[in-house]
Amino acid sequence: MSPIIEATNLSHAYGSFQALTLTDFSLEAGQVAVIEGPNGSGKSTFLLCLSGLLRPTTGQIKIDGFDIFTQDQPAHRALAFVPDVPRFYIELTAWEHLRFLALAHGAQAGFEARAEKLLKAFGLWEARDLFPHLFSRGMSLKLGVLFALIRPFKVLLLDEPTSAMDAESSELLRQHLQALRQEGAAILLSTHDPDIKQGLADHVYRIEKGCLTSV
Amino acid sequence: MLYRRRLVTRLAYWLSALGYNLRDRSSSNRMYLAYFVFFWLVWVVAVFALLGQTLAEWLVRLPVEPAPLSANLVLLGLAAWGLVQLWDAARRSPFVFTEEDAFLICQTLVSRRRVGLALFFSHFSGVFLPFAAGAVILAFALAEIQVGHERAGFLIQYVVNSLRALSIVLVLQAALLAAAWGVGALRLRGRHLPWLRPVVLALIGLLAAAWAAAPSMPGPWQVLRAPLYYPLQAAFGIGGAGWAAGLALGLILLAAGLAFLAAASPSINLSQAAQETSRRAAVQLARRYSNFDLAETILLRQRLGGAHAPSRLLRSPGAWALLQKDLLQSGRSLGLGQVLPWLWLFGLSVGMFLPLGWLVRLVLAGIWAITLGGLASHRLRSDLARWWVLRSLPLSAAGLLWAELCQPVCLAALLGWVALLLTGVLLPEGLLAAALLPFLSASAALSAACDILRRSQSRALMSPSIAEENVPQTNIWGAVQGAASVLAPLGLVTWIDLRFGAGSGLAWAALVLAVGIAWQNLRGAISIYRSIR
Repeated sequence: MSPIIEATNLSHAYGSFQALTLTDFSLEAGQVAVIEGPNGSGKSTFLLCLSGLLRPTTGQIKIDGFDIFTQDQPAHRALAFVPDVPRFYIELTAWEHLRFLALAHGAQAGFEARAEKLLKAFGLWEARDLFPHLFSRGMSLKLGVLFALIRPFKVLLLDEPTSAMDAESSELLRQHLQALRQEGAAILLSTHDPDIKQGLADHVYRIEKGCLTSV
Repeated sequence: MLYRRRLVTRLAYWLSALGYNLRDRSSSNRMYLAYFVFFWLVWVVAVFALLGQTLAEWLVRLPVEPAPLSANLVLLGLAAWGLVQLWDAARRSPFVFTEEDAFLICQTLVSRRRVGLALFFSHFSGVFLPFAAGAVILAFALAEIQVGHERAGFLIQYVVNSLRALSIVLVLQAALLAAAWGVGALRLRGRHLPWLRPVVLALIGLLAAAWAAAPSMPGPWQVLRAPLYYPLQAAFGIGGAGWAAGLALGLILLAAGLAFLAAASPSINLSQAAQETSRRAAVQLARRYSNFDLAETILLRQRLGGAHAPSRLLRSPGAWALLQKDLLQSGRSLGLGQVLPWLWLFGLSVGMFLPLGWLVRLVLAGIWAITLGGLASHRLRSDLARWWVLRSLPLSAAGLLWAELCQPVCLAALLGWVALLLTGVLLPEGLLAAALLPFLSASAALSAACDILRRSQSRALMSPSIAEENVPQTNIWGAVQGAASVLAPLGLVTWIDLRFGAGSGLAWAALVLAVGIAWQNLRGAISIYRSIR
């Protein structure tokens, strides 16, 4: 089986600071990988590079066989990324954010039912018409996760998705990730949550001082 | 002590903006201070003298005496400003507290009177400048009229006149502010005062009515204006009013105002004041340091409220969704601050098509291009601030730029066409201008986009603290590229008109040039967007 995420010779430097040293990484469909490591070790930089949001200093990244920078449209169609601090539009409500994302990805069919189901599952249904700047950090993270789940994808990258969630929401997310894995999605997430690591991960990686090693 | 430190910090900020580091205690910096003070003193005196000279030329042409007119102008300004302050203080706490203040000051047993007075002086230090500048310019103008062509001793006359006016005008301004804040302190004493606003409103009405009826019934107006007008007569050296007497009356008014404030402030409810003003404090802080994007964001959040029914605007897939999202954002954030720049752009469009001479028209076109660049990049900057959303959209760079810039480009072209109709430019020049407008608009917008994208860095865009205020704005290169992109085709039209006469068919070559430049700018923007590092 060919990997659905493939990164070769990946490295990134912020000026003279080497945040990520030369790394190869791959993940197959239906697999879950967890990255752990201390604060500032390079987890977010690694995920940002894989998601195409940050251009690496060296290396190539392929998502579903497409180069994330030269074939960005099909690559981004297959990829969903949730940052640790998602920022939303001031003028759009939570519902409108989801609708905009679904439309932009061409996933308008069945949007209403899908959005209702997800919002209810994550406890945001009552807040659907609120502007997200009123959300708590936990609610913002949940909406960020829904940004990914509202449209189809093959690869899901999450940067510390449970860092501000309560135990119930973390368990709910774990169940969703489990279901997504069974549907064939490849999932890579950084987390300090031991439950997610033990109950979900096929592979565990550790990053320290920018070096990625398999645990 | 806290407010003194804040004042020093604010002073240090503005001094550093002017080129002096307040915290550098070295002897070389102290020597530099002497040069710094001398340079800015000369600069201020020169600029104010120029303004005063211009004002003096206008004043002598009027059929009234310049000095009483100056006193009346300042009187009206002070009275109107004082009434606005009074009305504000009767509605909302004049004591502005930041969120930090709400925790550090409002919940402690610190003396309310001292906090009230400290806040008053701190606030006054930020609002006296416009009146000070106005008083000095008027004083310089009167000195210019008095000295006439006799240049000997003109500097002494300038200094004497301005110090005399400043000393009284600022004292009166402080007295009015203290009185208004005293009323604000009364409102914050925890008891509901239902009569306060009607009384303030009645006072405003009484003064306005007395002023309006002054030509037919001068008596009541003269009585009402006397406490302010007598010192102002002294400030501008009218009749026999002596400076010392005028200043003494001003100081009595100030003492009364401060006494009223000091008497009303010991029992003010600081928590209520903090609740009423924390957002206002954030806006003031952002504006004080010229962070207008942040101030606008805070005000927009306040205006939007908490919730909104789902819009029906979002309905089409792909790049259209981005355009519809932009339209929805523009509609919800629409306010006077957004409309005025577009009206200015419309005015420039009208100017471009008026028969003002080719040089003036080209200058206006350059300003038009730069203004449009700033306006057109607003939504792009908003989306760059949400880089994790924008970059993840499966849209081509061309489609994305089209969606981001379509709205302002179409609006600019539309305003240009309306301006063409209004100015009555005849065919075939009108037809050529109408055909050029969309491409000129696109060129200006794309130039600004190129500049912003060129200076955007993905690591900064993904910073947790990122928002619009941290996304680059159009700078000099964007302005130069935008102006050049618009001026090249218009310059060609002008040259052909001058060389071959108006209405020459050759002028249509400018359309080819405009299309080519717009196309080149689009290609440049696509390339830069795709290579954001």
